[in-house]
Amino acid sequence: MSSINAKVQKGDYLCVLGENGSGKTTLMKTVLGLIPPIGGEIVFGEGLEQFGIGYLPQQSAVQRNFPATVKEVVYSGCLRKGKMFLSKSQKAEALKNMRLLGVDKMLNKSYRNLSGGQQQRVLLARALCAADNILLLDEPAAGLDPAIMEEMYKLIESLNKSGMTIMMITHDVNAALRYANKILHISKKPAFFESVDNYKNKVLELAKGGVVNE
Amino acid sequence: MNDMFQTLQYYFTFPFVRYALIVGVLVSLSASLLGVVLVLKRLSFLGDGLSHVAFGAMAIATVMGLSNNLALVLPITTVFSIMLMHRHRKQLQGDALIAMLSVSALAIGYILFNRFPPKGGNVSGDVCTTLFGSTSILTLSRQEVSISIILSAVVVLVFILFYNIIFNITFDEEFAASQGINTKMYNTFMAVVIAAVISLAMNLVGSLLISALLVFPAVSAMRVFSSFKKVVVASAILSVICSFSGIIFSILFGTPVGATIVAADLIGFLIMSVIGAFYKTK
Amino acid sequence: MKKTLFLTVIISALLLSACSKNDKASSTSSALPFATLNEQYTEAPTVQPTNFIGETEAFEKETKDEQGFSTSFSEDIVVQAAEGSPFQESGTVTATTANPFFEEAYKGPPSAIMPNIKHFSDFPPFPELQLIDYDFSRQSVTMVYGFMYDVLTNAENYVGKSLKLTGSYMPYNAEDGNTYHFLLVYDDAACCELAIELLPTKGSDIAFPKSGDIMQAEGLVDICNDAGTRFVALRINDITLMGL
Repeated sequence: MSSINAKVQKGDYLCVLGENGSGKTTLMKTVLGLIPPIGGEIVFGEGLEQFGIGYLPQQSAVQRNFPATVKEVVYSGCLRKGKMFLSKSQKAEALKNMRLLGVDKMLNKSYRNLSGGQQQRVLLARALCAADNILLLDEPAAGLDPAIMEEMYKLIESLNKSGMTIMMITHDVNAALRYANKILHISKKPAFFESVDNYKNKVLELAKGGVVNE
Repeated sequence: MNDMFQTLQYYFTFPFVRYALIVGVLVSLSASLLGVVLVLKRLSFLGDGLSHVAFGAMAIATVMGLSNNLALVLPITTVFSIMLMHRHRKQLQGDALIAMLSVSALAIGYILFNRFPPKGGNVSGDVCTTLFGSTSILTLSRQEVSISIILSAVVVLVFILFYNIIFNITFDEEFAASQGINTKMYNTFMAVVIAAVISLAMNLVGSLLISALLVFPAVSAMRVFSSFKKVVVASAILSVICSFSGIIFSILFGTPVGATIVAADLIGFLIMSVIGAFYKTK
Repeated sequence: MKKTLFLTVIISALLLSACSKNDKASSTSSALPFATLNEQYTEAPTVQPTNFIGETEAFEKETKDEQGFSTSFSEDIVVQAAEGSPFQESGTVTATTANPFFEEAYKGPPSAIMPNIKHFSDFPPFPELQLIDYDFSRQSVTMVYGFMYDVLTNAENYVGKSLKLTGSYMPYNAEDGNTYHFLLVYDDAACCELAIELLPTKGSDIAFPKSGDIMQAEGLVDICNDAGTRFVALRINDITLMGL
């Protein structure tokens, strides 16, 4: 994979597309600071720090059966580097996020007894708690029913409308075209980073059999 | 029933009975807390594997003629603990590695004991004591009791202070890392604490018991409770009840102490499973 | 969180205090016609320099030939303290109990119950025990093993106390032709055993069974000195064979 040059601005809704193994996961992990950059650097602008990115990872089997209440899971999002305990204001903030995503009713319910969609919303609430003003979502609609998927996308859109910057990795090109305002397409060939409209044109070209030039 | 009570009262006047109870209960408490983390991280076999490594290290220490085998057991067990704790994230071969390590340490340890028996010592007795712990828990000295008190206090304190971070790392290590929590450091720290508990507990209660204590209470608690806090607390309380009753039963009826405690844990697990089948906290 | 911290501190303090309780186990008082070590010496024995002249010297000469250990007794029992000796009036006793695992020669009396006898085997028969301090003849294996270990390692707490034990008999034929008798107690897995030496009192002719036979013994715990070697033994008048 060759170099990527992308800029995300406040309020953006960026979708990261690409085939499996194209490096989406690597990019995401680098942005989050989980792995060091192979080359180049990640620059954070004003009011943003690497550990202030709200992360919604893909669920693992371990978590699906983990004994934890919704409250415990969401609260865990409030922790930050160096902190060991949650303050009252952080707890209030967490409650607010839960209410926003409609999971406050199941506060003391066990996470493992929830449906897939509900679990995703809980994890999204957790990501919100960890987010200063940018969310990074890894395939948030994966494995969900179409109806629940729609709900999820609507939720994310409303978050974006209220000022939250979104970076979403997804396979769902349709959703990307519908909701995003910027696309980052990673493939073995040079990456494509442009606005949605340009992307639509390029994709149509590809579909007609043309070749994409950079 | 009444005279059993009286007999127990008489037994409690003996220091070795009091020490056995205190150490047994405290070691169970520490192990159960750490066990919750191990079980949820799918590292349940780590306890068993490490206790065998500790046994092998102890054999080497005895052959070398060290007066206090802990000087060698603790570092070796810690090294392997850290290695195994980090490895499980990277490769799936971790479980095969633990299995091989575990039996090799056991075999080499036993061979060493046979080839270089400790001076004036009883080979099978030493092996028996550290593996099954039947006699070690009945022959504790004041110093060993103090060590176990300090150890448990440390483990409980660590758990209370780092509770939120422990939950975070256990539930979702990647997410924790994205928040800036140094997961590598905390994993290493947990590995060190677990190695310390296993090394010390081997001398106190035997390897068989410690591997059981790490796993049983946590799993039993999870049959009924669905909140992390409740699981941790239930695990601790359950382990204390089971070890206490196990020791009492063993001194009244002459069954081996270590094995009786494990049996008590098993009964606890069965009871919790039955309760869990009918009433599971939502 | 603060509550749990507070609780942890309290519980640790309670446990530590439980440990520092007196290590001596309680027992019924023994009704023996002669004084035992505990009753005679109410103060902790202190090591004092021996300064005996006269008879002691002779005694010392005797023992120095063998192992070189010296024993001092209270003046009213054996030794006549010479004029001007600091021990003439006070009658203090030196009874050092060395660490049993120490290679150094043990500098204690031949018998802790009766320090005045010349040799540890000179112990006379004791009257029938009306009350047994520690009856472990029918207790669980776990308790018996733990108790035996306590007796063997903290023998000072049990000197002069009466025990009743059930175990297997084991003779040991030493190179010097003597046979030593032991009572063995096994742990539950039968992989470890503890042995206490059985010392028949002077003149009692005990018919010991075959090696491995189960037997019961009633006697007094004693710490003996055999030419510089310290060992814990059970003084017995007789044994009872348990049919098995």
